Amino acid sequence: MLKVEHLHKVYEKKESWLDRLFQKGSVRLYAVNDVSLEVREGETLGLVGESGCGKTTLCRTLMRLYEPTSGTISFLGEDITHTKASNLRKLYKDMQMVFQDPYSSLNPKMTVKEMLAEAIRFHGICRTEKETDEYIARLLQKVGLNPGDAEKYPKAFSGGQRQRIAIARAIAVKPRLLIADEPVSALDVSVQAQILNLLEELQRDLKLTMIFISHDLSVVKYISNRVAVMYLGRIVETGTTDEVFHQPSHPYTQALLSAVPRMQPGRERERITLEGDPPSPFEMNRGCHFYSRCPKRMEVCRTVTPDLFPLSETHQARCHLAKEQ
Amino acid sequence: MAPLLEVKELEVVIKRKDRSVYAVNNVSFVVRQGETVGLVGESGSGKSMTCRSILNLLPRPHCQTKGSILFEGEDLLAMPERKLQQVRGKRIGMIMQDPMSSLDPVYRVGDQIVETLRTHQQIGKKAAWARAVELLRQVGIPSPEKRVWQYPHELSGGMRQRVMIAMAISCMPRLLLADEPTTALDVTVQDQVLRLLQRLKREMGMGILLVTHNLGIVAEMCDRVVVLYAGKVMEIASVEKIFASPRNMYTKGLIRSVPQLDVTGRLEGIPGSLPVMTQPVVGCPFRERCPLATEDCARDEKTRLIEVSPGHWSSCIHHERVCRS
Repeated sequence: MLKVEHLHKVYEKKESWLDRLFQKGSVRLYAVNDVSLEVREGETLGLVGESGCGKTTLCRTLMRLYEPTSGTISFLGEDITHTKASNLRKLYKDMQMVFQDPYSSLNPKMTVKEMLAEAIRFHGICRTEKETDEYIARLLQKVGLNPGDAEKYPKAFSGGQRQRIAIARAIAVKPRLLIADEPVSALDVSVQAQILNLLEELQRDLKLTMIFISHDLSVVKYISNRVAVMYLGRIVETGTTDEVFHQPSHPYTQALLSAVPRMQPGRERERITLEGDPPSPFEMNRGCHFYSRCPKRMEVCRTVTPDLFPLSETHQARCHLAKEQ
Repeated sequence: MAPLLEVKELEVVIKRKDRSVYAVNNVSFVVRQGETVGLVGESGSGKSMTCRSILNLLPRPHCQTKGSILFEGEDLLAMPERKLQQVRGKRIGMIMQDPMSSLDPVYRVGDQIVETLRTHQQIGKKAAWARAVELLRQVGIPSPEKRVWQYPHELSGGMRQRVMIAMAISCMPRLLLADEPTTALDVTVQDQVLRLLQRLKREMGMGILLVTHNLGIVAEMCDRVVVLYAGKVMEIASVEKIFASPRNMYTKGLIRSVPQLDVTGRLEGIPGSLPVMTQPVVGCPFRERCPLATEDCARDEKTRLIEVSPGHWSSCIHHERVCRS
């Protein structure tokens, strides 16, 4: 359904006269570095990584909110890498997004009905006013809100309810692909579970395809069929949820999994402690990006960038050790 | 032996022009020496307000407190400001959630640690700087003799939180208040900081009051747990009992809403959202979301904390049914 090949998103800081004075030159930041992935119809792809790994930039580039630097994105068999702004309107009929912060992603001066009606009118989903009203009532019910809430403003709702409105707005135009960028990170656990279950139900009922971005491994495991782990702009491991969580093959995935606190008091978990913090993403070109923190690093990792080695038909890891296995 | 910290019938009301928010309602618990107590709850449960009122850090005059907080036999709430300043940072250390905003950006890291040391101890400038280096080494900062000369912006989030911890333990406090110490950090860095806290507790034998919303952290760090909801204590028990046999429907619902790495199966979630707290809470604040609720739950005298088994307290009148359900 969605196919991404060798996608790059590079930010460049131009050399200013001050930099020239101090002989600094221009700097480049590889936010998304050579990412290739495929999303199949009806599946949920989980994208995990720590802050600054490029997961949000990647999904915004997929949505064409950012212009990709190089590589191709094709959606429903059509190359959308350089689709003109005028054609994006058609694209957004099939591709919608739910953002992280339900407090800033809803317009505080519009009622719920106005917000939903705008999307519906824009994409010509309903013909008459009456039809629109009925459709909105059904939508609100579907996301677990009261049809009577349509006349209210966002400030009348709690965080979880706002996220429901954001989801209603996204599915109002009957998209085929839903990109959810940390949709539950701002919510409390009891509400988080409600929203996760809602997304799961909607996906089943509407046959949605979903890209789900999160930094929380347990959440990604719960909702995804397939998982891609990112580190400093690159995908370091991808596979089915089972493969990635039960046979993690990249040292970073292994460390990430071992660092999650478990809800079993008294049980000592096996910890792989990483030293230090992720390095600065500026000018990272040679070798494996994980080299500086990797507990299993070898000499070759410093100079040669590993490819994504296939471990099974679905499972790949970007590590020299994976090749030997 | 008297407990290190004893919070008795604490109440905090936030007064606004048009309304008041009843943030903490009749909260009582103790922290014994060398023990880690977890203060758990979702946003709005009053956990941070409780933690802050211990050192009288609530914004005056908007917040009114009632009750008493005994620290080594002295009532902190009744203590004059001048005397309280000798407790803050010396006998009770505190770590805040956000290491970005709790360090002063215009002073070097070393200056800030030295200031704390020289405020509370008779120590010369040179000796204080040497001690600052020693403290940074103790919290696991590499090349501390260089780091003391750096400004907060030159350090990463994890490093800043380590500096905060170094300041908090600089005067060997008997009690450490940690208000969501790892919420702003990535999982791999969070793991490092949690290990550090565990090690320091073992070495220094201090009591820790750990405020968090993450049940995984509770399970790994705490000896006993206080569960808060809408400013009321729902349950107090040892960490093993909280997870193995919760005696309050809220605790049970909370545990069931957390997605886990080692467990598969559908999440339950808790329907509804937090009650409005502009009125004093009467009876059980959770009753509107509780499947076991009866009429008695609305009555104050029925929903007091009772000891259901030695050391295990619950405010639920249906605690036996919770066990069975």
